[in-house]
This record gives sequence, structure tokens and C-alpha cells, in this order.
Amino acid sequence: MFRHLVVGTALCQYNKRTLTDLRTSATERSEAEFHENLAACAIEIDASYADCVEAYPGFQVSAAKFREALVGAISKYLLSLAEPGTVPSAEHIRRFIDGLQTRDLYLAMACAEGNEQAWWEFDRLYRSFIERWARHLIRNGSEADEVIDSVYADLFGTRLVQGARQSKFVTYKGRGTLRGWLRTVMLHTVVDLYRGKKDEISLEDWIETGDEAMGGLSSTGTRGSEELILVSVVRERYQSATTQALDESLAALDDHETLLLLYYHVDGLKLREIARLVEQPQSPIRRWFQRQSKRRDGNRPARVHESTVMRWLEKVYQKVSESFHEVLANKHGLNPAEIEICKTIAAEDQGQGLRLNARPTGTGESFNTDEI
Amino acid sequence: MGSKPNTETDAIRQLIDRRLKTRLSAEVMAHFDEHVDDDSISAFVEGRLDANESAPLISHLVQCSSCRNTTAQLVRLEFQVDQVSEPAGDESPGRMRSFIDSLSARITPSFEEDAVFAYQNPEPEPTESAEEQPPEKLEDGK
Repeated sequence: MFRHLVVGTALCQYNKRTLTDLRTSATERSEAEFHENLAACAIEIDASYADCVEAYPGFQVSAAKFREALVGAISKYLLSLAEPGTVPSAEHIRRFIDGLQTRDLYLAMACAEGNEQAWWEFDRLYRSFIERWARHLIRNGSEADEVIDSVYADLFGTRLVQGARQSKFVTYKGRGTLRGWLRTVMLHTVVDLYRGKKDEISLEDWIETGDEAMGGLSSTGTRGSEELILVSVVRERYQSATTQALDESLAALDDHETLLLLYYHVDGLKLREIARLVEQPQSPIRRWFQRQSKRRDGNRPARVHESTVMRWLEKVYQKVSESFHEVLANKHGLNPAEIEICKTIAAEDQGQGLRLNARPTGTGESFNTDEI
Repeated sequence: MGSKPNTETDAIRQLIDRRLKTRLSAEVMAHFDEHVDDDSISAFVEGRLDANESAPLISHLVQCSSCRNTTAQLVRLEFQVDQVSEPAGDESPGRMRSFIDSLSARITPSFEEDAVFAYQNPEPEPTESAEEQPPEKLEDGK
């Protein structure tokens, strides 16, 4: 028996080694293929570099560094997310490079290297934008100045690690615009600033917790007489079934659908704001919902209107509703009348919760069915 | 509004609204160790990521209220800030030179391992992971 165990273990180790060898071999093949595909894009990379040098002649970012930055972006967005054993094709890499904000990346790289001309250009292009955002985020003038100062200091890099200045610009990969990236950096800087000063964040009720207690579904204190206790037990049974059925229905949604619900109900985005988020034709959320709608390509509008987002939401509600009824009926064995009781109890609790926790945010706007 | 279908939709919408907020209050307590970096967040908000690139990000946003709230705030603020006119910048000559000088004067070595490694490797490249997630951001839990 012991021998069998030893042989078995050795076999396992052999198999493991063989598997590891195979994997290593596959990785090496993938790497070789990737470098081959990358090499096939040399013309596009060179052309992109030439365009940047022409736009910003004095920035002195080397071709090698520029290529290294592009490979960094490809590695982050294409390689790391590729299916195991697959590598992005040359065509895919070309499309990716074409979609990069290479001039913005070039400017950021030059700033990271401390090129004064680049900083001058950056300041000229983005100073007013940064100031505008800072003063919008923070009304207090001196604190806004503090944010601006902090952002510039982070971008320049006032901290040395292993002898190298750590400019925040090196984290910019050029996938989005430099302007969009700056917005995100500034927002995080403001949050960090607030966190540093106080535990609670007042910036638009940062991380909106919705209703604090949220115990509405189980907070109906019906104690006292036996009759009331009985009512309470029955009520809790329906409440529990309602919650479980709803959770199950929500869990069955695709991530795109859940995200849409969360943006609208939890983060309080308005329909027009969600429409703005998906206004790019290649927006993954937009494309996902459009695929579900089975619309013909020729009929797709160039712009996503608020009413479109509303239709998407209504489809999700419908999907949840169908699943909700099905779970209550099939899993909890409730008949239609009982399902109605569940909904009534939930609606009553909803009313209580709203009275207790009236907040301006949460649902971004009234869901105006007249607009449908 | 008074018709049956709309009532049904309203009821389920209210149920969803309440349930999602309830779940959020639990999520707030469960902090994520890792958050999406600024580069990916801004690319997502600008709608520049394709389906493959955005799939893991969308999954994270569904789970992480902090990162999702960042994206929501960016969209909301973009609307508001767009309505404000741009102020004129200070274009006086030499300002940038003095500004860079003032930033340079503030450079400080970190309290970490640079003192040990400085002599071994005078010009090291920052690591990829350090680039992606600045330590101060992670420490804050964002």
C-alpha cells in the first residue's frame, strides 16, 4: 500500500512536471507568437511615434521608450485579458494601437521624464481644466488650491523610490484621454484629502449608503398579543421568501444589467447621465444591450437617448419580475394570492423605509413613465 | 401610471431599489483590497474599452461600490463642470520654471528600501505593479 502511494505520488509529480513543461512550452510559444505579431506592427508603431515627435518636437522621448510604453499598454489591456493560450493577432494589436491616445501618452511620458517644454505644454493645455475641476469639487478656495498643488506634486513625483522619481504620469497608459485620466486622478486626490482630514466624506455623500438601517424588511415590530405574534410570524415568512426570491432574480442577471440597476438605483445616476456614459458607439454596456434588443444594425441610432436607457431598465425590471414570480411560485410554493401579499408587505415596508430615511440621492430621479 | 403593467413595473422597481440599497449597506463593510486603477477607470468612463477589456472591470464594478461610485461621480461631475466656463490661466513667462523648481525642491526619498538598494541599482525602473497601484492609494482603501 505504501509502495502504491509512493508510486502514485511519483506519477503525480511526473504528471505535474509534464504538465508544467507543457505549459511552459505553450507560454514560450505564445510569447514568441506575440512578439511576432508585435513585430508585424512595427510600421504602425513607428508612424505613431513619428506623429508624436512631429506634434511635440522638443519633448525628447526616445523611440525605444515610446515602444516600451505601447507594449506596456498592450500587455495590460490585451495580453493580460486574453483567453489562456491565445495571443492577440497583429490586426488586433494594430486596432488597439490605433485606438490609443498616443499624443497624450507621449506628452505624459515627457512630463514623467521631467522635460520642461512638456510641462509647459501640459500646463498650457490642462491647468485651467484642473483648476476648474478642483474648484468645482471643493468650494473652499484654499482647499481647492491644496488639491491642485497635490495633483501637480503627484504628477511631477516628489517621492523617490530606489533613486527614481515616482511620477504619477507613468501610470497613464493612453487607453483613455489624458483629460479623462486627470479627472479620475483629481477625484481620488479630493477623496484622499478628505479622508486625511476627517473620517467621514462629505463629498456628495461619498459611497452613498442608501438607507442606513435598511432593516425595513424585518423591522416591523409587531409584538404584544398572540395574534400580533402570529401575524408577525406569517409576515416574516413572506418577507423572507420575498427577499430570497428577489436576491435570486437579481443574481441571475448579467453583470451589464446589474451595473445598470446599480448606477440608477444606488449611485443615483440620472438617465441622461447613464446615456452619456454609453454614448460612445463602442461602449461595451451599450453594445451589450443592443445585442439583447436584436435590433438590425441599420436602425441603430448614433446617439443613446435617455428613453433608450429607460427601455433597457424596463427590460431588466421585466426580467427580474418574471424570475421573482417564478421563484416564489416554484421554490417557495406560493400561489398568486400569496405572491400579491409578499409584494404588498414589501411595498408597506418600502413606505416605512422612505419615511425613516428620506434622502435626496439614491434613485437619481423619478422614473417618469410619461417619458416612455 | 394607473394601468396594471405600470403598477407591476413600479412595484418591482421599488422592490429592486430597496433591495439593492440594503445590499449596498452590507457591501460598504466588506472592503475590497484591490481597486481598479485610474487609467482603466477613465478609459471605461470614456467608453474606450472593448468587450474583452471591460468584462472583468464590469464584474468588479458590480461588486465594489467604491470603484462604481468613482465612475458614477465622474459621469455626474462631467455634466456639471462642462457648464462652467474655463478661467484664463496665468501665462507669465518663467512661471513654469519656478514651478518645476519648487516641485523639485520638495522631492524626498521614501522611507522604504531605497536607502538599502540605492547603491546596488542606481537607476532602477519602477516595477509594473508599483506603477499600476500606487501604495498610498491602496493603504487608504480608496
